[in-house]
Amino acid sequence: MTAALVFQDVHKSFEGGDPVLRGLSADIPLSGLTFVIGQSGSGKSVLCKLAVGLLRPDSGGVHLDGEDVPSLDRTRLHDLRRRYPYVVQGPALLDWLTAAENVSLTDPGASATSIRAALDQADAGALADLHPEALGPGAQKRVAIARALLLSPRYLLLDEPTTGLDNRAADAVNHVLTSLRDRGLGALVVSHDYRALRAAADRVLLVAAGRAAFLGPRDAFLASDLPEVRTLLEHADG
Amino acid sequence: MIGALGRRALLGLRWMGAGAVLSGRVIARLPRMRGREVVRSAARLGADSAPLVLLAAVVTGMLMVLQTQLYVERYGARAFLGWAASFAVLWEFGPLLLGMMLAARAGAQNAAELAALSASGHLEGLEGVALDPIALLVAPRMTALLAASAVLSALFFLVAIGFEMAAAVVSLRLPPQVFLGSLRESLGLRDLLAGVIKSTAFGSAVAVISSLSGLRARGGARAVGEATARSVQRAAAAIFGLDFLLTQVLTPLLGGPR
Amino acid sequence: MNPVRELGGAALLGARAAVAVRRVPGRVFLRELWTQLDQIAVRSAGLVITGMAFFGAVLISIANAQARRFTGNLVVLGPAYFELLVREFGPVTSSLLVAARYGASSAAEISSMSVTEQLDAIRMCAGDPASDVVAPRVLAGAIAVPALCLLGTTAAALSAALTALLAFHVDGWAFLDPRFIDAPDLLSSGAKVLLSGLYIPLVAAVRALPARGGSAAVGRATTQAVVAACLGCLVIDVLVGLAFRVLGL
Repeated sequence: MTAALVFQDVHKSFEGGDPVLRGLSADIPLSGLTFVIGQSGSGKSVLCKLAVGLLRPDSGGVHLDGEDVPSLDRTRLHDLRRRYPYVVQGPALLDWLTAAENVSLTDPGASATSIRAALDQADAGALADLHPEALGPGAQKRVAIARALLLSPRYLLLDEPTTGLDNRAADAVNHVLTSLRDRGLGALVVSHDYRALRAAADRVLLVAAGRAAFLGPRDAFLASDLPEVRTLLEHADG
Repeated sequence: MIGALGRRALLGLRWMGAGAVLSGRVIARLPRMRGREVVRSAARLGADSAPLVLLAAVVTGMLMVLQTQLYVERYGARAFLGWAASFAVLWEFGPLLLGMMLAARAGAQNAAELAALSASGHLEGLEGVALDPIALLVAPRMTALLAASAVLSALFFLVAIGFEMAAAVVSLRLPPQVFLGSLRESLGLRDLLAGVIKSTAFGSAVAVISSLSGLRARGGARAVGEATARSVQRAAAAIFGLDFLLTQVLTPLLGGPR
Repeated sequence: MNPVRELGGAALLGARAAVAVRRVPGRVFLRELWTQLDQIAVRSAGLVITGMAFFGAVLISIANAQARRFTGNLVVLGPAYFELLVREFGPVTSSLLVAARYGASSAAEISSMSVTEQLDAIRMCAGDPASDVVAPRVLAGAIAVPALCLLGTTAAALSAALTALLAFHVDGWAFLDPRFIDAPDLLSSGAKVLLSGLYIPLVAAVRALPARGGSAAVGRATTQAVVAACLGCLVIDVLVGLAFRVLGL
């Protein structure tokens, strides 16, 4: 049985706002590239944060690889995130450290070789000795991914890895994702990038009105007749 | 009015609780700290504060002489000037002014930097890849601030007393030997200890309060400004309160008659 | 941290603000003045009063230790200590507290406004931040800081007297005895607090107005402003004290 990320009837709202998630249920196998899409503010990032325990659901269950996430204490959450790292949208690199030093944070005892290898996997090998301010946003993202890769995870959670990047930078990041996938690494990718979705997604989860409107293979998604899917795709192409 | 005072006191207690929790977490993570981060924080928060601290010490020295002059004129106790002024510096004005300068410079900077990291989502980003912001960022800074306050206090006392002596020579024509004589005779290690204890206590208060203020920042540039301002205000209040408490505690222990 | 440039900058800004005040104060100015008075006086009063009360109590302990050496008799020091409080400790410590409180919040506000381009918006509507933002604060400072220092000194004096009475069992009234207080004492204190009241908001604005960039700039500006304000109070205290001494007062 493959490991899975399971949401059961999850409700989540924030102070003074309408509920973001209204009973979302989804059973996402942790293999290949699963794209999570939906309109802005539909709760996509919230899903990632719930999955690794950065947020707690108001009600409902969140299970990642069999672990009941909301009930985990700090130490167990730490271990969970080492196996399933979550790379936030803003790269969160420390600007007084070089790229290589930033990567080494996740494993202080790592050898220079393994740090270099992680950077290479993210196509950022040449950037090792540069500081974040000398890197463009796309390069910073790749260094952040390398930092997560040093943990040797089998699955990543990525929050909008190509949002705000120009086409070239976005392609560079997407290339990293597909090569990781080809090497057996899976990822949950929250994204607006429909080009990437068409090209690389194995599976698509559409979040609409706080619920999972669609969860299935990419081709089925693209061919779907569901109104939510149609509006989204027309919007994306238009 | 009483209600407002009560609410203030309650808020103060909650902050002290949060401070205790943070300190506990920091202490638990001390072994995991990166030495490099401690050194970097010591340079930015400690060493960079040195010029300001020195300037404040010079000013304090001059101030002390101006003030004790009044005494001397009333009671003709020139011979005691060295001791009286130095005693005041070690026991009160040194730690107090050092604490305020630390709160204004190192504390504000610490709060601002942590607030910027918090508000921009860096801290959450670190947690996402199983990194601990407390171990990585907060513990080194607090340790550095604590160490810096102890070291800077010694510097402060030295410079302040030195300038007192100089000011006494210039304005009262008091020979340095007389100044130093009364010092050596009556000032002891206990007084220095009192000064260092107070200074370190104030430094810890600045460390905890500035870190707490920074970590709680949410929002944008405005939140950073507010966190910085709040850190300075709370630290000032804490310093004056601690000053009172410590004086009560230390006087029977260290201030006894010789 | 170039003191000459800082002083020059403050003086220039002060001049612009002064010119702005001399124009007939509009409703916006008065409303802002009122807000700032509330900010300094009302919000800082708590900190100043409690801080100075603690300070006054501590001073008595110091006095006690010194008395045991000098005269063996604490009460005798009473009037001299009261004079010292009124002339030196009261003004400088109170203004330090205000510098920490108001200098910080003022700089934080102004630098946030600068970074979020609110000040540019003012300039584009033919307004001048010097008059709309800075002048009310400087005037509020000139009014409120002396008032706060008066409150603070009173709190310290009362606390000192109380501590002398309750903790050291001597006549508390001796520490409220004004026999040594003369006109030069009051003049010197007055000068110190007035200058501090003008200086604190001015230097906060000098640091905060040019802030550009983002959160980092706001943090930096606020930090520098507080440092400058606190140092300024100390330096003003020394300079005024020296001036009076030179004048033989």
